[in-house]
Amino acid sequence: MTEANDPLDAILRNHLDRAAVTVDAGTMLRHIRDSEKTMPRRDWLKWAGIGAGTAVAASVGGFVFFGNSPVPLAAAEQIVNEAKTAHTVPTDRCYEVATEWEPLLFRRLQLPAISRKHKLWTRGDQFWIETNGDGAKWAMGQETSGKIWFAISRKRGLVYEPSEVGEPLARFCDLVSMRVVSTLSELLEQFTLYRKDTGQPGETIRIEADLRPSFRNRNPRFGHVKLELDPVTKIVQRAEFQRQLNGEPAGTLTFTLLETTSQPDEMYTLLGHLDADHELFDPKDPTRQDRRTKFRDEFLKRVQIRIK
Amino acid sequence: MNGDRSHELDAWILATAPRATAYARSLLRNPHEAEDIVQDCYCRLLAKADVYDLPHDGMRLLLRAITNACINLKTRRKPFFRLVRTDADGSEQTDDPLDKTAPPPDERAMFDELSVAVESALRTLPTQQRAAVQLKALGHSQQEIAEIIGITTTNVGVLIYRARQALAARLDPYLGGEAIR
Repeated sequence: MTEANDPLDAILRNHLDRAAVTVDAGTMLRHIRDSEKTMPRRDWLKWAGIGAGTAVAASVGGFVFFGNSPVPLAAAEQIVNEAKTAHTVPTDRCYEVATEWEPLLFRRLQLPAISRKHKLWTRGDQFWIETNGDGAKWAMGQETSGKIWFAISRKRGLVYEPSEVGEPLARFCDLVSMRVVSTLSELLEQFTLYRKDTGQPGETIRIEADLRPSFRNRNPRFGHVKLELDPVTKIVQRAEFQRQLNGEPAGTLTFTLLETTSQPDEMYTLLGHLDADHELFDPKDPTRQDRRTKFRDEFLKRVQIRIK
Repeated sequence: MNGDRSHELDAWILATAPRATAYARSLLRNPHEAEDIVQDCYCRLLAKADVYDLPHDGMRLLLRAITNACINLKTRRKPFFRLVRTDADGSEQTDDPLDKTAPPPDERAMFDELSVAVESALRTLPTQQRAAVQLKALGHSQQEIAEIIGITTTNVGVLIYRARQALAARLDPYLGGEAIR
């Protein structure tokens, strides 16, 4: 038996080959080239040693010199953790959401690629959306219980229990909303994070995130993410998500912070968007089940993102 | 660095990264740590790209750096105590039942039976044996393996012999009764 035909070697080689095909060499190359732009860790140690030596020498000499020694940037993970803590505080924030869907995907699904803008209000992980699309103003939101509601106008509202929501509608909510705390946790858990700013005082913190190869086969929601954070409060000022569906790029969603203003609690519920004389279509009224289902399906057609 | 040289190095990274990462993962079991180590090793080699001819000799240097880094990491992180159980055949298993780096059940199901068997058989080997037997499978000579791991060729022979004996015992059903040297 030749070396090349050795069955155990063949099994091991095949095992390594199978593991190798799951590696995204392109992303690794990008990470390596990005790392080269920043100071390597060993140089940090060298600088730290030099800095410590300088400080000791300066103290002995009767003066202290901290002049131009480099200040290490806080790690991207640490910043995102701080942002997560900052967003846990129940403050109302309004983001403008711009969506640019992937034309190829939508063409294949026989849906026109559209670009839309709407407003998203968040408080921790609660949200509601307000839009003026198609000339009609409507709002929708999801309560912490999982219920989804629509205020088609000030006079008419619909409520769907979590069991009635269905996958397309759940996917729509997932696509257009941003649960900031959950999303930041997801980034910390599944992504490699990089700082893209220089760390100058007052400079907006810019962080980019790439999905780790080991999470690539798990139908991830995002491929690449860009964050811009306030350098002091660590609040997300702008977030750009490359959304993925079934492993394919679906589009780019950009969230831009518009304002931070206190909102009444009821704005996160349907009643906050209806007048007193409203008509309500909810699961408690069995005679209107068909209309609710029809509305849900027509709504999905209208927003043109029924992806299934 | 001129453009052509930079492109040449990029091509070298793209060509070698999959296998280098797979090798590091097999030594560490934690894919994130493995990727970090591989990335770090590439950066260190690229810093000396003017000294080494990486597109030609780089793979061996890279494997050497990865092997050293993985062994160092495992040595540094050796737990205060180990959970050891002994199988019916007398071999010691050091799998920590609380090991959070172990693949979850759904991930395990993605691999076929042979892959699972190979993976679990490799996990029973000490890191140096694992490195030696895999480098041999990748076609490296004993002399090259000795340079990569940083031991003598005699020791490489011993490591490979022991590793193959252990693997053969565990993978016997998949080897079709072929003799293992």
